[in-house]
Amino acid sequence: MSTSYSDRVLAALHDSTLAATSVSRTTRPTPFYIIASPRALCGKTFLALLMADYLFQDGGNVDAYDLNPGEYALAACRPGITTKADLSTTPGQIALFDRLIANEGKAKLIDLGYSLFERFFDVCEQIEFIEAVRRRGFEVIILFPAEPHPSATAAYEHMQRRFPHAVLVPVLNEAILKGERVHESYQVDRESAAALQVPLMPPVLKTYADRLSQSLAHVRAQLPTNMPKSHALELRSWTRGVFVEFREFELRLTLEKLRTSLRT
Amino acid sequence: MAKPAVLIVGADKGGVGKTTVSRTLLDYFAAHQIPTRAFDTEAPKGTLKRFYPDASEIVDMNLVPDQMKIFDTLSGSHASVTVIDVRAGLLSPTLQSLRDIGFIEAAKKGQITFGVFHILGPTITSLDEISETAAYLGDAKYFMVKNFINNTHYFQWDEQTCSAYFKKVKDVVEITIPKLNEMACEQVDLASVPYLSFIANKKLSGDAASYSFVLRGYVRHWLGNVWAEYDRIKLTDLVAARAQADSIQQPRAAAG
Repeated sequence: MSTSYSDRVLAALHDSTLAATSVSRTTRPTPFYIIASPRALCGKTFLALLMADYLFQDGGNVDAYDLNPGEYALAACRPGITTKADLSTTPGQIALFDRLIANEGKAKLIDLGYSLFERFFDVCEQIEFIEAVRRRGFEVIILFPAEPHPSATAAYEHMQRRFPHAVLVPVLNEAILKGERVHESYQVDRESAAALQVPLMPPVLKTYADRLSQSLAHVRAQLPTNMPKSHALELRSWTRGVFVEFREFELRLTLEKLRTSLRT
Repeated sequence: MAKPAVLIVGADKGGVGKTTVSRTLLDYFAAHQIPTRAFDTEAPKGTLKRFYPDASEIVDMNLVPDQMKIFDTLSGSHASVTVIDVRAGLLSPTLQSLRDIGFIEAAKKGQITFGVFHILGPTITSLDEISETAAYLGDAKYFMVKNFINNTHYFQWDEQTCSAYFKKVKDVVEITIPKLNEMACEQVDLASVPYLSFIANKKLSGDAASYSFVLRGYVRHWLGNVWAEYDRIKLTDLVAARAQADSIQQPRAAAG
């Protein structure tokens, strides 16, 4: 797409403010996860919780942001690492984005409520947020809970076109999909963005997991005592499976980066 | 060498965003490396001067010495473009003075490029200004600026009324200034820096500042849209009109 001279001047000015913080290609980018869908009740917060726990066990370096005004379920479950955020006012946006842009080597995670889906990405587009965080050494990964609903598939396709520099990954959560096949509606545009699978958590385990005050990362190290041992073992096994899925995704991403850097 | 260009930014009403538009113009010319000077007629304090202390000067358009300071120096100045931010209520009197000193005639002969940015208010009365102003315009480029920066609603306007008024001016060009996030607008004012410095996160001194990333993003997005309007009307072509080309046209204009 051609840009005007005026656009190029403004882009150069914008870049000059970011250049000092750009990281070299050899440095591993800091992950920046956004869990997003325009649909309610598709497992966004549960996925955010899993990813927060995964990142937490991976060195404890994660800053999570809960953008679900009125609910703030992630902040309630993981208060130590989660900040409640709001986009309805400009001061709220400043408080959020000005913190998000700072790269201190900690992974970032946003649990984006469906009601703020459009607003959040509109602001991102206006202030060119995705580009800016990439230049500050983050890898932006949008985890999109897949659903067969047309509004979800349309939003996914739109996101793919709208933010080509973000890694858009569909997440196939068996508890949400209930056996429905949606692969064809969620095409990926790069190898590393292959769909993530979240296996069905048996309902009895879900009850325990919801009540669990500790991180699922801790369950891997120490079995919880407030549930039968068989359930605790099953929960640990289930968590391990999900975390392996996340780890493999990260490896795919690293491999892709490596290949790209070898080619250039 | 390019012939001098004079751009007047004004309105007969106050608070419609004259200085805002002047600031976007100064930034636009700076970005395009077109040497520009500005005159702030908000004597004695000045508003534009606060943002561009080096490039602007406060003048009183009612005083002949100040009029001389602007118009007698057009050819000798290093700047090829002169932007005059005319204070509220002085647009028509200023244009009248320009006619009296022969400026409008010089523009007609092609010796000077002359443009008027008329910032319109939200009510029908601001359209009445057009007839008054049009009488003095001669061959000036006339830009009607609808300024939405303060979320203004042009509630009394309709297409028929507008076109009736616009017909009174030859080759009128409409420009729209979109809304800027209120807090971003406030913070740039508070920082007292050009929009470009705010986007580049710099103070007036050139030292690094710590403006909000979000607000800088909003300002950048907004200024990009404003400049797209200036690109659309080919503003750089207008002010960079070559004297040589004019010399061919001058005899015809003089004959007419």
